[in-house]
Amino acid sequence: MRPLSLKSRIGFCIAAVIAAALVVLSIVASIEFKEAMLRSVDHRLRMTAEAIRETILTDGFETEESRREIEAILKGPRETVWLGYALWKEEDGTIWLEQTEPLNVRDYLRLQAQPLPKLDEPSILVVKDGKMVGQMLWMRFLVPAESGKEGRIIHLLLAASSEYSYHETKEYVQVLAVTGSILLMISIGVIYSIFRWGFRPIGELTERMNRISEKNLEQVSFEFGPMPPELLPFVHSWKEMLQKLAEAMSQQRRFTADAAHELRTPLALVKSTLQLAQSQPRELSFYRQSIQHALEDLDRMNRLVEQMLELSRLDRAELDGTREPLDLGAWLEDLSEQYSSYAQERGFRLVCRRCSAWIRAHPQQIRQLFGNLIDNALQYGPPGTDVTIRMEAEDSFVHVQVHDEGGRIPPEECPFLFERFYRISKARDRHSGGTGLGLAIAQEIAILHGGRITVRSNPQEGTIFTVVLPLEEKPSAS
Amino acid sequence: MRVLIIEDERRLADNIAQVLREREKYAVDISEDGLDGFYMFQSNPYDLVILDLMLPGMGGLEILRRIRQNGKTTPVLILSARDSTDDIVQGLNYGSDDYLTKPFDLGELVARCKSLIRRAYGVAAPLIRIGELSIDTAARRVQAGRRVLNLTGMEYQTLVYLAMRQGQIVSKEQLLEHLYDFNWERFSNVIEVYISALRRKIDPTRQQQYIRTCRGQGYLLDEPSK
Repeated sequence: MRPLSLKSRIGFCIAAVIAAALVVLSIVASIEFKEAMLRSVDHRLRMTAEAIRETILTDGFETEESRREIEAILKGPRETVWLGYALWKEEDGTIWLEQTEPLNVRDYLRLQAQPLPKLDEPSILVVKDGKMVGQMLWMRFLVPAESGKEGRIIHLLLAASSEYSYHETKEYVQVLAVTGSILLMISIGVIYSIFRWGFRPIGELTERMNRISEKNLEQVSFEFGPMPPELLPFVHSWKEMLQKLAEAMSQQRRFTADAAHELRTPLALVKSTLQLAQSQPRELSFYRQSIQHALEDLDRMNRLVEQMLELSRLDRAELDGTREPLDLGAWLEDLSEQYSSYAQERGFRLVCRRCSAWIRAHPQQIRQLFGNLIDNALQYGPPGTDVTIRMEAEDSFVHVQVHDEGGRIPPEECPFLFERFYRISKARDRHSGGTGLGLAIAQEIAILHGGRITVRSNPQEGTIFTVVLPLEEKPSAS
Repeated sequence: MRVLIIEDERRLADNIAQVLREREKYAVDISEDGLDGFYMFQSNPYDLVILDLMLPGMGGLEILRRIRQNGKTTPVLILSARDSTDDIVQGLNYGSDDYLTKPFDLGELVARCKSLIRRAYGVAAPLIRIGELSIDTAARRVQAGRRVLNLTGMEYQTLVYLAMRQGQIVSKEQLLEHLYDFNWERFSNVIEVYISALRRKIDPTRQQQYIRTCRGQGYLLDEPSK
């Protein structure tokens, strides 16, 4: 099942809460309404009873006058439907006035086994007989003795129908239900539009995100105008991610363009050399030389491709388990021995001043790092001078310097030296065989080993590349 | 025709120079450095510059800008490894006449060079006709009437240069400058030697004079006056 949208979830919850509140409110209101209706019936019963008592007290019991008066009272309020009434003397139970239709109130009272009410304190009881519903008032009062007549206690029983109240309550509940439902619908609509309005920034964001592809990443505008504060962190991290991505993409694109550029030149060389050889009959030595040149150019392309692959491997590389403890001093001495005859051929003396320093490293990568630096020194240093490898352990780092006597790099170009395909303007010629990637690879490796690489160059000191690598505890001999 | 190649990849420049010399008998000078190249351009009359963009000394676009700033109309062909449309548009907008990306075909490069030089002299058709003389610069074939002339490379180049500037007086110095590069020992009567050889080959009977000598000024190639 598809998960519900945030909008519908919150919307449903709020609608349910409103509905529940409305139902509770309606129930309370209708109960209260019914009670009020019944209380007004009671009130009328009491008023009527009081009026009857007054009449009897003024006009006397069992007089014609008061009988007329009482009947007038009972007919008075139109809205009251009388179920029945009775007036009798307590001492002998003789009935003076009575209406038994539709309810014989005295019979009904007898059935209820109601306790005798105190004098002048009417008691109210509910009448429920078949379809009939109503309220009944039972009152005892004293008619005092006067002119030869003894004082006596009179019972008054009055029953009024409350069907009207129930009917009214039912109608009231119906009205409540209808208004409640309408209210609920309206509030759902209102909630929905509020959510639409509230979620609009998210919708806009989504739309903008959807428009982004790897092709227009750099043209994406990162300006959003006012944003709800809840969305700000989200927008910020999104922006940051996009910028990082764009940067990486453009770096990648630049690298690809540079690589293509670097490959095109040797390609042009091979092609023009072979076409030239093919264009007309030549001497054998010409063909030999053309082939020789073409092979050299292919070698150069091959080296370039190798180094590009190496870089892309390093880009993906992470701290892996293939590193092993390495005595950098002994290892560098070995390396400089390997290089010594090559250095001599080129007219250099390779000097290694070692000390003991253990690092944790990938031997092949470390070889490439220092090999590239030594190559670089032998390539660009002035022949007839020394190339010196110096090292020094300090705190938790080891500093290795590869030093040649050529101070060839202008200081303003030093920061760019480790960029891929960067060549200093003076050494831009490609005859040196450099690919422009060696130093970039060296830096990549240094960083992967938790270190860094810097360069300093001036005519007095020469050129010094410094590699800083974190030291490792010397492994105990096993 | 004299061509300047400013390209820091020496062997590529040599290859181009060799093919231009062999096929077209052009005089070719090479500079591996931008700044040197620009000075060479200023001190010699070139008919075409082949320009790399990424150069030590001075960038190709800067050289191009300076050439055009000086009001020179010499055709410039950019030869670059940069192949994006932006780069090509930029190169052309800086005032280059053509743009070729590496790797390229030598034959195509030569054809473009020839067309650029032709255009620079106001000649659109590869076939130049002067009276009965017809010079097919595409096939490098010269005919006088129906007779195909057997010309040496330098004789052909001298004729083409005169034909390109048909009806104009071309001085001996101009001929020397446009037909020889730095590597040649120039001796002053070499031009006379070519001119007389050309006259002999075009018309062995010496009745029609296509190439006239203007005393003290130079030579002029035009339809022979009746």
